[in-house]
Parts: sequence; structure tokens; C-alpha cells
Amino acid sequence: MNASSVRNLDRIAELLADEASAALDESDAPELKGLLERNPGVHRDDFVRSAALAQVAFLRQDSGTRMPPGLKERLASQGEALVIRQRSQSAARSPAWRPAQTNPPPLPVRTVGTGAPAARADTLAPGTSRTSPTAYLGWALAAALAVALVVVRTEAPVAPVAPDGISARASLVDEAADVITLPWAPPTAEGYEGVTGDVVWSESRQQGYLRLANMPVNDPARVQYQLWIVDPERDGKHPVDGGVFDVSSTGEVIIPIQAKLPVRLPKAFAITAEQPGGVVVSAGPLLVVAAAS
Amino acid sequence: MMTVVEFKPATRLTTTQSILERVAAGDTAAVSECLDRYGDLVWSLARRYLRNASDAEDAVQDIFIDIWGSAGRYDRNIASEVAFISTIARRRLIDKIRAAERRPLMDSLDDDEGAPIDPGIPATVEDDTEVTIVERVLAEMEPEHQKVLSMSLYEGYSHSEIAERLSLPLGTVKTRVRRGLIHIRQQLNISTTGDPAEELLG
Repeated sequence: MNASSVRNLDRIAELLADEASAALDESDAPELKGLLERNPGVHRDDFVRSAALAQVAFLRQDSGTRMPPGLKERLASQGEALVIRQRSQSAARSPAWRPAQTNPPPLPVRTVGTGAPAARADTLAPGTSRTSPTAYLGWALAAALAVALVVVRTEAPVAPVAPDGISARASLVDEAADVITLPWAPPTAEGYEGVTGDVVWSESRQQGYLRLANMPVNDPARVQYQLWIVDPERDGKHPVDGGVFDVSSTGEVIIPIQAKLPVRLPKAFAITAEQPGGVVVSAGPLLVVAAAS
Repeated sequence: MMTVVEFKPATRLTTTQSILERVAAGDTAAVSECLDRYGDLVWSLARRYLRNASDAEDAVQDIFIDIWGSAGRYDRNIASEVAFISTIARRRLIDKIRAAERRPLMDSLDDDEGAPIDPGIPATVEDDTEVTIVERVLAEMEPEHQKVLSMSLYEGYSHSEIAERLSLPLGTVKTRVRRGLIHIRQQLNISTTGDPAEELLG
């Protein structure tokens, strides 16, 4: 190992230690990124793990607090739902669930973080008679413009259109006492004017479905639809990523919602068209929107 | 009032799989066991780091969703469950603080739940070799070095806040935190590059 390599590793160690202690200067972040790219053998988590274990060791010398029982119950419910969902998705992944390839109409595609103008108001506002939905649409638009729909995504799975989606949706509606149903507002985005349907969502089950009719078919190789869930109870600025999905038929389709984070009180659901796999930052526009009244 | 949290011993498990491995395998019962075993630990870390109970609740929800969602990546040959879980927790807590553009203010920690003393938490990790190693490393440190590390890693103070409170130059604080972490990493034998840790220490 030459002197330059040693100096690089010294510097990586310093910067990773800064990162693990929440003290990495923004100005140092590009340098760390570059060093890690040039030294792929260095694992970024090593220092965070060391810091985390030190945190636990210090806690053992101190006194802890007990998790509130209500929180534990909620987490258990959400966790079990998540595990069931992951299990069913794992079992359901098969070629038969992939949407058929058809001749799709062109769809608008925006690239990540381009800074391009986001959704125009005329593509979002469904009308003046629905003041509350408009308020939420306005919130979503403001969020899109201000923070460009920055969300946390852990992965970008394709939401399979379950062959038994109709019965699964019906079961949820029949069995979950807290199901809410939000109809899609009449879309004004070009090519989407005829879209109808609704969204059903159960907070207790953290489960829901989109019902869409007359939705333009997408070409998954070029563009995929992505769902965003506006939940002011959870985070005032960052919508929850509801997963990406494909539409293979302009007839009625049922899409399971795949919220990446717990959703408490959804006020609006919005669909955008994105690059395959979805994005973490969307510039819109919001093609189809359902909002609580 | 002192509250004792029941520790669920490993013998309660009926398989040789760890809790996280069972979560990854789709065992819903493992979710509650995970909360029983690590819930108070994560909650305590969050309460130490974040200003109020509401922020801590949000963070803990995100942490456990992340833990369960990534349980399939857990490898017992690489790290213990405590290390895996506390690493996710630390990353999420740092993200939370940065998102809020503030540092935790421990002086304003609200005690709306009475913050009961909980001797059950140490038991959760009593057999964890990695934690034991770190405890030994910390015990061998000079008290003033340990204090800086505690304020930075555990109590969540920024380097400048530590410098001000301990009347130390900012550079000294930064160096102590860096060297402390590098030393812990070395003692944990985390060496993914194959390079001697001495080289990192300079």
C-alpha cells in the first residue's frame, strides 16, 4: 500500500467518523462520496455500527424508558401487516403477474430533480366546487413545487395487478371497519380526462387498492405510474411513496397500494408517470388525484 | 416508580432462527417478539436523541418498519441483532434530526410519560459480545475522552455544543470523536478493507 492510499484511507476514516457522529459538513460530503467510489472495499456502515454500539453501551450505563404500550400495539399491527404483505408479494412474484405489453400511448416523463416546472395548476385543480379537495391538491402542488416530492424509498418494486384484486378489494371493504373510499377527481391532464374509479384504504390494516378505468396503458420499458400518498398527520412535506405499477388495459384494473411507510390519515392520493422503477423525487405532474372532502 | 421490563430469554424461541430471520421468513409472531426484545432499547435511544415523545414515536415507527422491511438482509455472521437494529436506529435518528434542521436539546426533554427507570434494557443486550467489547473500550478510555464521545454519540450534542459546554477547542472535540470511533471500530475487528487499523489511526 502506497502513501497515497494510506492518506485516502485516513481521510475516509475521518469523514466516516464525522458521518457516524452526525457531524459531516455538507462541504465534505462530495469528497466522501468520491473517496468511497474510488475505494469500493470500504463499507460505509462500519462506523455507524461502531457508533450505534457505543450508543447502546452508554445506554446500559444509564437508564432507559419503556416504550408506550399503545405505540407497541400499533407497531405490532403494522409490522404483522407488513410481514404478511411481504410474504404474499414474494409468493405472488411470477411472470403471469406481469402486465401484457401493448401499444401504449405516449406518456409524459419527467426526470429526477431536473428542476423543470412541476405540475401546472390547470392540470391539477379539478374545479372550484370542491374546495376541500382543491385545498389538498393545492397542498400537494405546493409540496411538489417546494420540495419536489422528496420521499423515502427503500426499493421500487412493481406492484402486481393481482388476478384476484377485485375480490381482495371487496374483502377489505367488507371486513375492515375503518375503510375510507375516495373517488378520483375528474382529471384534467391531457389523455387522462376519462379516468374514473376510486381509492380504498384501511389505516388499521395499512392496506388499500386503487380502482382505475380508462387509464392509459403504459409501456413499462419507458414509463411507470407511481402513487403518492399525502398524509399531513405523518409529515407535512413529504408524501409517502405508494409504489409503482403498470396498467395493461384501459378496462377496470385494481392495483394494490404498497405504502413504503405507515400511513395514518391519508388526505389525498396522486398518480404521476415516472421513469421505470419510479423516482425518489418527482416533478409531477399529478395525472390523477383523489382527495378527502 | 421503578418499572421492570420483562426480558424475553432466547430459550423462548422454538427454532434456531433469530428473530430477524423469522421476520424475513414471514413469521408474524416474530414481530411481537422483536418489539418485546428490542422495543424499549430503540425507544430509549430515540428518547435520548429527540426532543419530545411525538418525534420519538415517529422515529421509532420508521425504525421498526425499516428493520422489518430489511430483515432479509440480516446476516448473523456479520453482526449481532443488536448491532443490526441499533445501526438502523442510529441512521434513522440522524436523518430525523437533519430533516428537522436541529440538534436534540436534552435540557428540554419532556417527561410526559414519567420516563421510568428501566433496568430491563441492559438485560436485552447482556449477552451481546459486540456491546461488551465496546463497553470495555469505553471503560479504558480517559474520562474526558469518554465524556466527549458520550455527549456526541449518545446525548446527540453537536461538536460545537460540546466544545462550548466543556470549554474545549472545536478541533479537539472533533479529533476525540474521530479517534474514539476509529478505536472502537478497530477493537470490534471491523476491517472490510484488509488494511491494518493502525494505518487508519495514524
